[in-house]
Amino acid sequence: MSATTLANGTPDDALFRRTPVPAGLDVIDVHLNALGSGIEPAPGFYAAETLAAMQADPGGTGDGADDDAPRFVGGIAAPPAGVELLHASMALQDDLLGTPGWQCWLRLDDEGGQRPPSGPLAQAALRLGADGLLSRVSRRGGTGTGTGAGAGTGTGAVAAAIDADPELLARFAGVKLMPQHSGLPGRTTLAHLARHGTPVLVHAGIQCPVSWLERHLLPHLSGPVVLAHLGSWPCSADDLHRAVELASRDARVHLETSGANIGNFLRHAVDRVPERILFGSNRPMCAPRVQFAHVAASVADDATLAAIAHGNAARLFGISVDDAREPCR
Amino acid sequence: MMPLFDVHVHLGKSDTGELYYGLLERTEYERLMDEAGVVRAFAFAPLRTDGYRTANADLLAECEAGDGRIRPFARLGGDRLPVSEPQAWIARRALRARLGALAGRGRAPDIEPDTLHRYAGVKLLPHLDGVPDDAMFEAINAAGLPVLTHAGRYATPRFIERHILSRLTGTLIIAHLGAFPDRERELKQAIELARREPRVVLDTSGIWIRDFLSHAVAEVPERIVFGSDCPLTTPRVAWAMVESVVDDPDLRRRIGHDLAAELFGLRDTLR
Repeated sequence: MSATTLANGTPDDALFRRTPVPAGLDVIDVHLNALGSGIEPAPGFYAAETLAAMQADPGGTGDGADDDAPRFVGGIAAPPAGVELLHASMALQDDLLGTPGWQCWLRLDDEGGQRPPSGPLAQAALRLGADGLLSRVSRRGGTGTGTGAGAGTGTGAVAAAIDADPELLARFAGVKLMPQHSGLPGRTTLAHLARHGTPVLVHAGIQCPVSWLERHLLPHLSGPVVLAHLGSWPCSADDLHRAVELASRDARVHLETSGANIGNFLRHAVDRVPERILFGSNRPMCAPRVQFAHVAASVADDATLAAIAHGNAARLFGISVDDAREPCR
Repeated sequence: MMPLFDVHVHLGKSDTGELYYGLLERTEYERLMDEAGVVRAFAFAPLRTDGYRTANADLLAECEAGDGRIRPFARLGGDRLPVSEPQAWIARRALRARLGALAGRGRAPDIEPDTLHRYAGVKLLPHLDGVPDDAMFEAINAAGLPVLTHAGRYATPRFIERHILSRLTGTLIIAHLGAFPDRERELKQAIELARREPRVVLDTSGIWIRDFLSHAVAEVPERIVFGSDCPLTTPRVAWAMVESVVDDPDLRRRIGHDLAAELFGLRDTLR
């Protein structure tokens, strides 16, 4: 819990941690975006980074870690946007094969699947629980909000590869979804994910509301679901509340910290579902060392911070922190 | 540790019940200043629904009770709100404010204009508080105060240029690089405005996307000033974000200290 008690026995109402972060705390970053060997970055405004660069400088700030600093011992990486995702996911998987502490997400593109509501009308319909009706009306009218249940008919290359060989899923930590960009997987692919209990990391927030994911994604899955950004990207308190409430009643649901840069958002989640919070940075969007400093400042209790830093992720993904401490091979 | 100026701090209590603003007491912020090496800070009341008359006075008294390192900004509103997104709540809010003003039931004054000189600047949140009227801008200009305004999704740099900068004679600090929370288009508008208008500077608060900060630093390096947005995070963490993007020690000093010292006429703090 974030609330603590001072040495004189009085409750500590401070917002931020008073004590130093435990020395040498191990950190596993479950939300990295990396280019594997031979993958060229897509042109655009946002920078891309290679896996090799991340492993050479795991904190992402260029400065060498002293003994007391957090140690970024492992992570789970997905290919960034704009590259050919099947090829890029396989390249990461090849690069990371046998590297203790490191795994990768299979980033699942699926053009043509269900998309979350966009635009004020569709979002209002979602709030009123009428998004299915709106979707049926809009499909007739051709506006394509894609919010209706069962609308997905996947056509993407990664989905096709999973459908052709579902054992592919076993080679990855799970799949990463960006439904606001590429829609949800089709029913066949979702059935494979459910059959394998595959973990799913999914963008969540204003563009991909938690209530929409609860209605249109979660019923089709059986494995862990990690809502990125505490479900609140970029700073949606409504979605944060829904994500925390969802995590508190659905044991599959976990929340990842990247982009949740409002201290009270973190405290709200950590106070309620501390065992479900996983550290993520969304690197290269933010340096892990900076993102973790923000998390650490907002979590007063050392045991809870250790769980968020590595314990919850190690348990969920079967990562051995002891093995991960060994230098990258 | 480099001495820093933090131009963006929310101090005191919000009455909104929203999660955004924890209650940051002056004593806790002073501890965070020491931890980060902040030697001067500029603070304002967090968002309130009941106006800022009492909150401004309370903040002024609180800063005067401290050791002088924290200076207050007066938080002001008005009856003109931007409608920059097709959202019903924004249109409703803007319409209600305008109709109230036309009916003679406009926003109560957030401050007596003749007390403005006791503050170090003015803070605006256009899409929620509105923009002050011409008489208040005349008072701001007469007092020679800088204005810091929230900017981004609901308060675009274009609106700010038209309705704030055009009525201001002094410095305008556009918060969040103009891009809160993740608006690439507004980031580019703010940079373009800073490039052609020498009175405009951009603060780093609330920006957690490295690409945004590195783009602004590449385009207008001389016009960027450090703000933490505390209590959304601590000044130490916010400064670490800047350091993760800016390698050049001279530019770090410009962003963290020199530009703010220049803006506020406080050039003697670099130890």
